[in-house]
Amino acid sequence: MTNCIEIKGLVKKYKAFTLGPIDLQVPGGSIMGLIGENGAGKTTLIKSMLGIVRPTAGEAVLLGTDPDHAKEDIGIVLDDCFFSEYLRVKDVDTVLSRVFKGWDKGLFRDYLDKFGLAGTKNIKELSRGMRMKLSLAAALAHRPRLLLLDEATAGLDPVVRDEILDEFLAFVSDEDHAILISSHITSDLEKVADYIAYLHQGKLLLCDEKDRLLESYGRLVCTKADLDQVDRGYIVATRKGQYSTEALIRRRGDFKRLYPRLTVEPVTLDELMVFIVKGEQS
Amino acid sequence: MTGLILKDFLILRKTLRSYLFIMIVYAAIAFSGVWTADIVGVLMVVVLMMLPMNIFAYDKQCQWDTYGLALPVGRTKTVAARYLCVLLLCIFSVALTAVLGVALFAAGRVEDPVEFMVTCSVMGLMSVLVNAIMLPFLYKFGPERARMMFFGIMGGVVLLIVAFLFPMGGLNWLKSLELAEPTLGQATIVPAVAALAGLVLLALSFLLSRHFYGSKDV
Repeated sequence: MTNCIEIKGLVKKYKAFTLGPIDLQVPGGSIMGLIGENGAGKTTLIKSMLGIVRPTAGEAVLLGTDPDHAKEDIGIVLDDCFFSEYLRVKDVDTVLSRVFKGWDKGLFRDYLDKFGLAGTKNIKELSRGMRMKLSLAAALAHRPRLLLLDEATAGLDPVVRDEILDEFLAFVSDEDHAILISSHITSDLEKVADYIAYLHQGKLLLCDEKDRLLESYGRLVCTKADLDQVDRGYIVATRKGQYSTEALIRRRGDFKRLYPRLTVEPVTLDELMVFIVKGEQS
Repeated sequence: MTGLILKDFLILRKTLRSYLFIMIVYAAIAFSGVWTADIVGVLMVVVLMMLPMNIFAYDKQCQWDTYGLALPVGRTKTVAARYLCVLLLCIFSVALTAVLGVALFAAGRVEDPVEFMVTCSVMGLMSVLVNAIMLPFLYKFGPERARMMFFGIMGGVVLLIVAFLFPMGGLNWLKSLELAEPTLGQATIVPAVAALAGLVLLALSFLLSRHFYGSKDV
């Protein structure tokens, strides 16, 4: 399985913020979910990968080549529709068919039909959900091999999100295809992502298979006295409440065998983020 | 690159229709004899100053730059597409003004077609000059800041001209110069020189804009 994305030592420095160094790979046929709080650097990472902002150091290899040469095979969806409100839906076809060599007018029309978008409609008349669908149709109609999605499902209702997530799953059924999707809606990522990368204050804190992450970490709820008995090597972070103490535990299976009396629950991506950001690091 | 040029024209579709309508209204006013035909040329300069600013503002509104740089076009071609769009707008406007001038001449409202041709060429060159100065500002500072800066510069230029003319006697001094009527030969050369000068100005401006946009983080 070849990597569709290979990021090596990528750094982007601003006056008040530094992203990286970031190293990560996204294999073909997979979806990587990029999570992190606002301002963690998710959008900067995607922009740096594409050369929209110039990286200070490091490089991104997309589809085996440099980003400029790979753009013909990349589809991008940002957190809002990037087509002017003064355009009509069918104008997107007129413009992009002259930009992408591989633009498939028939496929674009098929997506418009599938998403219930009329070509004659003005973009300013479209709801947010419809605009995101238009962006997705535009990102897919040149038959890309890599999709870069920045908060593409934000603000959409669950039905639309579910439809779009189905599109993503269909897209990566081809082993040559991959998706990098940044999202705050971690439930979407739990549904479709194969890998999770967690950015915090510009640094990559976690990057692993989603199932392995969710299986290996656990949430321990116990008393402070119980927590004091636990081997510190298992504890990633703790949160102390008025009546109980919570801890993020690594190597959940081993922990359960070692401490059968204590209850460890599976952890969600949301909980993982909150523990790491707000918990006391062990 | 044609896709990007087309995008700009599609965005300006409604504005261009209004522009055409206003030009015809002004031509009608010139036809009625209230204003001279030169007013059409002045309007052309004003409109050609506004249109590129509008394109930049519309692009900023929908974050097009971020998306545009993710397309397989490249920064140089992106800037080149914008310059070609502006050049096409200038050519379209000069041609339209010339056509209206011919119509006004046929209707007997333009006394000297040679003079009108020269005026039209000079106005066209001014439009190109204005854009050649303004576009690098738009690339460097974005539409909001560039607009303020540009109007500041234009205001400064007007003040300088007034400061120069005032001690000489103002407009009366200009009238006293009694410039010779342009000959037919001049009327042929002036448009050609204006077109060439306009192209050189735009080419220099393009190099500056490409430099600004090439190093810009969008």
